[in-house]
Amino acid sequence: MGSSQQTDDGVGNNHGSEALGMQTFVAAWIRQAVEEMNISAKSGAISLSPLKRFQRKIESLANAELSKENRFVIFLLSSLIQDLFYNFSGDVPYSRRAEEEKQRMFAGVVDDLNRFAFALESGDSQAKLFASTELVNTYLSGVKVVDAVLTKEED
Amino acid sequence: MDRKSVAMYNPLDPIEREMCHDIARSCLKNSSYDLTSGGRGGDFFDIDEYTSSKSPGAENGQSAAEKARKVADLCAKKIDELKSNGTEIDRLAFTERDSGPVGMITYKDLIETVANMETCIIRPRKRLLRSALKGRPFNPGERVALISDVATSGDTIHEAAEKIWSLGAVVSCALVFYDRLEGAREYLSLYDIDLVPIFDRMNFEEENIIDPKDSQISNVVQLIGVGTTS
Repeated sequence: MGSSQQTDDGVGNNHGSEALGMQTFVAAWIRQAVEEMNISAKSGAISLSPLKRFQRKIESLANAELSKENRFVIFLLSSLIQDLFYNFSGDVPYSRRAEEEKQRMFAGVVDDLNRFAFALESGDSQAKLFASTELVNTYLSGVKVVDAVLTKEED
Repeated sequence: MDRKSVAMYNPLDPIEREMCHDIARSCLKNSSYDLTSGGRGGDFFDIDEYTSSKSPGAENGQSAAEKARKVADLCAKKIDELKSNGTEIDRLAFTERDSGPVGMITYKDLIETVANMETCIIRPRKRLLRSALKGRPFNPGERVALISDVATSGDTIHEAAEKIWSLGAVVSCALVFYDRLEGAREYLSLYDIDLVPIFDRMNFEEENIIDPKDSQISNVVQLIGVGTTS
């Protein structure tokens, strides 16, 4: 990233202002997606399109020269969104209860994304780790619940 | 190369021999790539290349549709042989991965028509079990034959079989176009899955397509770059 203000720990971990600068951008994009998803929730169902637009934005950064931490943040978010779309878009069997659980999971993901945005802005590594762990956990726990509902209904 | 499967060597009839050469020329390439099992591969096999306009059959005026029909006919013939030998098959299953379709899925509808059998798609990487099956839900104990292009370690087939079992059906066998003879048969037999290849590496060696001494493929395209396959 070539900034004179950055502090590199010698193994490529950029803890400097540029790393934080980019994460502030990502945090702002997360907020925008969260806001749009919250607005869509008022009409009865959380729309995933803001998340797809957010994924495209962060993936456009993937070719830039990034610090290891920024790369990690982008990879984590992009992979999580990819997984979410792979498993929840398209021909997922419909049931009212599974749909309710799915929406509950989406709402949890939205809340956790918002917390992750705060953590990114704070620059606190522990907070970022905690927020990202919570985000992944909310998603995977939600998947488990939806899967159980669908499987039980089939039985 | 693991030769444990050589005892199962499968001789070819004249039509299969001709097709063996056509298929090898278009689908088999010297390469160096990562397998989905995590190992390394040297002979890349892509059944979709057979119907491409660059494949050898195109030179003698065969259309992609004619070649696709040959693939489907060969699969249907093998399925008929299996059924007449006592293997019970109610439905054919093709596999799709998160990284995209596994070879043979292109031929799904054609094989369904030619073999006159119902088909479905298994998506082993779906986190929701009910999304792992595209098609009508399985009847309890329904007997399914998995159809795939290549068998190497058997991992992809086993992964698909696990979803089929979880969905209440039974795996009758796994029919593959090409068995690399690298242990898939033995691995799958641990789970009572019978691996049935149309062609295997021994066929290609017998036909002088692959040199058994140095494992290099003769008279086929050099593949530039890397890919992944099963």
